[in-house]
Amino acid sequence: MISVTDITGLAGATLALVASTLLAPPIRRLKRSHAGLLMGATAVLVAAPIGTLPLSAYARGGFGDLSVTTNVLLAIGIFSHLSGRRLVDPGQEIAICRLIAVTALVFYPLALGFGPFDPYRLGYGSPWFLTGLLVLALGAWAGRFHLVSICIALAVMAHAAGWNESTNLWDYLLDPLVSIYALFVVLSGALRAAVHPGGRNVG
Amino acid sequence: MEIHTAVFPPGGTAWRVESPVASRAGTQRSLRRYIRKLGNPVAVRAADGRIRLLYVTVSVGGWGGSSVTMTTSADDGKTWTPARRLITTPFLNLSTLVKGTPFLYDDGTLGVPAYHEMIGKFGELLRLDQTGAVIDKQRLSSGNDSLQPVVLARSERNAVALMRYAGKQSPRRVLRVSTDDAGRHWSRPEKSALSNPDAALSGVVLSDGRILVALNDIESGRDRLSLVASRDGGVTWKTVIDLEDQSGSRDQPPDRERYLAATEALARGSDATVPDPAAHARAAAVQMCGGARCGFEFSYPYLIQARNGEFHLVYTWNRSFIKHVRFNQAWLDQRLSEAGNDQRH
Repeated sequence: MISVTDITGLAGATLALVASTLLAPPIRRLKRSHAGLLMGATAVLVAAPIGTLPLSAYARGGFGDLSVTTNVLLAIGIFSHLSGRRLVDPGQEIAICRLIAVTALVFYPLALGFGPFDPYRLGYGSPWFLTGLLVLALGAWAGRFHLVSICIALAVMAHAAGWNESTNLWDYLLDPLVSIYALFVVLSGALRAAVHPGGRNVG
Repeated sequence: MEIHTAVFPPGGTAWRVESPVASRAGTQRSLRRYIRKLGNPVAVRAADGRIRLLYVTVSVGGWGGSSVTMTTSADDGKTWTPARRLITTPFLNLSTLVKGTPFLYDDGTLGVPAYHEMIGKFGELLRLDQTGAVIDKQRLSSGNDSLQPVVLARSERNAVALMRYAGKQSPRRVLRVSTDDAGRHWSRPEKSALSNPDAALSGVVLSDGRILVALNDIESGRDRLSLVASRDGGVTWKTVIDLEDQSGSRDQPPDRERYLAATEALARGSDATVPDPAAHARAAAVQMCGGARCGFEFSYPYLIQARNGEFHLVYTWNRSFIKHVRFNQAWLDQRLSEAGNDQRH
């Protein structure tokens, strides 16, 4: 019988594959209703078994279970495109991308073995880590960066509920896909700001 | 590629017929994700009596990209639960491998020696609760030169971990770390007195605290496999026996004909009841003869002590078979007393 973590993992992979269709400019130019139909068809296609496994299972085999943060950002992106209205302010997205980018640049090298300290270990129930997240979430809320607080809160709740295969809280907060996306947003924003110093800072 | 199991009944003299436990396709079905290959099985009896089998699976790339998968048997290996994946790294769950024998903590949780082999190479220790969930991960070393830790608990608070040396700097030695506070802190890795040609080792702790290790106690090649023992937590070592030693043939590696004769004699010499030693020799030649010359390899030892006190050592014999060696405490004590002051390390 399929487990809950398999369902959530495959759903996350399906969401990522559906959202990836929006990367193609011709699809971005489609009418919203047509884009919705195409994305629905894509969801069915990648979730349906081909041979023994659906396409989403192959994707999951490659990039693993997606973090809650990634799922939230993907859902926001798809909703915004299909509804034609922004669910969150661009400043919120930029703030969370900056936070993710900085965290990823420090976290992944250390977690992969650069130096003796392994920050990933903190995700197995360290009270210091949880306290730090609480302070960060409250600080972000006070600073009106609500998306940051919501992602942290949802990640902690999903971790407590055993939403993903992982028992480590870090895997609910961060994953390589969202880190690469955040770095791209931050770097491209910085590049645009450098080329057009008087323009609006978007990253 | 499949993982098989076989039973050697206590007090028996022969293995029963082997049967498959895990296959690539079966694991892929259970994990609902693409699996390219699997390997490195290690088994342990959990606190509740069930057998946990851990092995590594690869979805993309080589062995460095492995992740750990686990299956459980509640009926001594007759049937197994669907495989489940352990999440142990944040980067696509890549690069955690198992090799050393798992062990039990006093509280019934399971310690699983593991290692990381992507960019860096270092030893780790996973801790699993009684449901099999990962509850902690700890580094035993860092950097780029240690693999495949073997954790040897000598008392409630003291343990030693020995690691395969994957570095380039001479002398090439087994790396040793220790703890005196039940694993909360581990010492920095130090080169031990045991040579190591970047090859796996295995060990057990005897009831009197002595450590017994099987390894290739040489700096290059894997043509000698030895049993060594230590009374002082792995600081000094005494050779118990060289189980296999073909290092003398390195200067003049045998051609295929001489190799077939030599390996057939080896197979017959190690077990007079082997039904077809010539077949063993031919299988070894397929693996170990490249061009005109052939080599010997005795590698990947795995040593345990059974509840009845007997020791069981299995290792890869010329990459063609698994060899099983069985001995008891009396034989070991006799060998150590015969070794006397012949302390090689």
